[in-house]
Amino acid sequence: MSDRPTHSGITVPLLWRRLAAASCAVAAIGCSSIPAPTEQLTRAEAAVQRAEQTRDVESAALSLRRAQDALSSAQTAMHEGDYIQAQMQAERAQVDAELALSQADSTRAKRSADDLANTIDVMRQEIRRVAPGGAR
Amino acid sequence: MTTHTYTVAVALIVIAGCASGPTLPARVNQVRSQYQMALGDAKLTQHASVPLYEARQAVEQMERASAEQEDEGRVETLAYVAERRLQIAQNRADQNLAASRMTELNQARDTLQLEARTREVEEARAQLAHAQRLSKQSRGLGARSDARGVVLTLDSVLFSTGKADLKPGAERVIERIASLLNAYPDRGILVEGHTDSVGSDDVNLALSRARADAVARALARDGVSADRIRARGFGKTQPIAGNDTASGRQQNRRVEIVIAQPSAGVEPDTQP
Repeated sequence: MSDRPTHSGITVPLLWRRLAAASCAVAAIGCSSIPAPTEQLTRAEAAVQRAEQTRDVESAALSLRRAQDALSSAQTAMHEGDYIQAQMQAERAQVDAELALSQADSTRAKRSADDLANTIDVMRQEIRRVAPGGAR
Repeated sequence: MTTHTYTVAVALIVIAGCASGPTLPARVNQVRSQYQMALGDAKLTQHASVPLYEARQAVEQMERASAEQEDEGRVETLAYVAERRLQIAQNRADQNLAASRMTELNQARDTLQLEARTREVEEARAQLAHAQRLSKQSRGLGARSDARGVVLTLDSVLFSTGKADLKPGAERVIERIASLLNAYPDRGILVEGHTDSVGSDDVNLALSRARADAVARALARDGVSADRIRARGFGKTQPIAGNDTASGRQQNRRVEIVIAQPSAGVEPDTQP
């Protein structure tokens, strides 16, 4: 009908170029194209802050330290535009902060129970005590 | 030439990716078996069901990422998260168990406190009955109880007029009081002297103190441990009757012996 080139008329070098472009795009999606993990970072920051503010966090010092380090790496990566790294470090920071919090909570609960058990032992001894001359 | 080399390299990477199967299979297996062990732990299933559920979600996310051949960094991060979730479940289970133990301990403590209080009340009742018997047997000895404990009142007829010395006849009364006090060896004892309002404050104070001391010494002679006793003088400051009649003044001149009630918070040293 006309002398315009048809699809079948694409030259081989052009096909190669198109394939190369497509594979680059695929590679780019796989490697670096995720949205900025702003929400995950905010969650991690909140979790670390909660862990830092909990009472008796000394019992969870190592987990807290890991959480703080990961959060700091996440913030740096975010700043440098490495969103994948930022996402992963933020996830680690959040879970380590939650771990620190759970450790502190469980240590505190166990200590309270132990303290009360001791108080009760003392009370029992006091009640059994019949020794004379016991006034203060 | 360069383009060709690049193309071959990309092809190799894609092939390698396709041929290698799931990412970090050993690591994923390790975390999965940790999770399965946790599922078999009744402590966790009973006391940390929510954290365990969250751990399961993390394990599943890790397995999906591994099956979909996501890169190692991603899968390792998810494995790390899943492991931590399992530890969190352990901690939450421990915390909940400690909380249950706390509830039981609180009940045990309440029971003990109630027992102690009941025993104290019974003991105070027995003390008062004993004191009232002594009061009936002894002239010049009164018995009552107030918030501080059982109170024995030595009337001034037991003392030489205007002096601190106990009359010879008072010895028998002191002896009986001592036997009552020695029946409750762990109670503190307050010995408190009082006068009527006749005379100067200084003289009254000195007399009330001297009488309290005399009673304390007499009790100690009859075997009451001296370190249980705190003697004080109050002069005319705490009358129990009006000072305008002879009988009122007579009542005000007295020495009180208080058998302190532990729960009334009476510490001999903190008395005014």
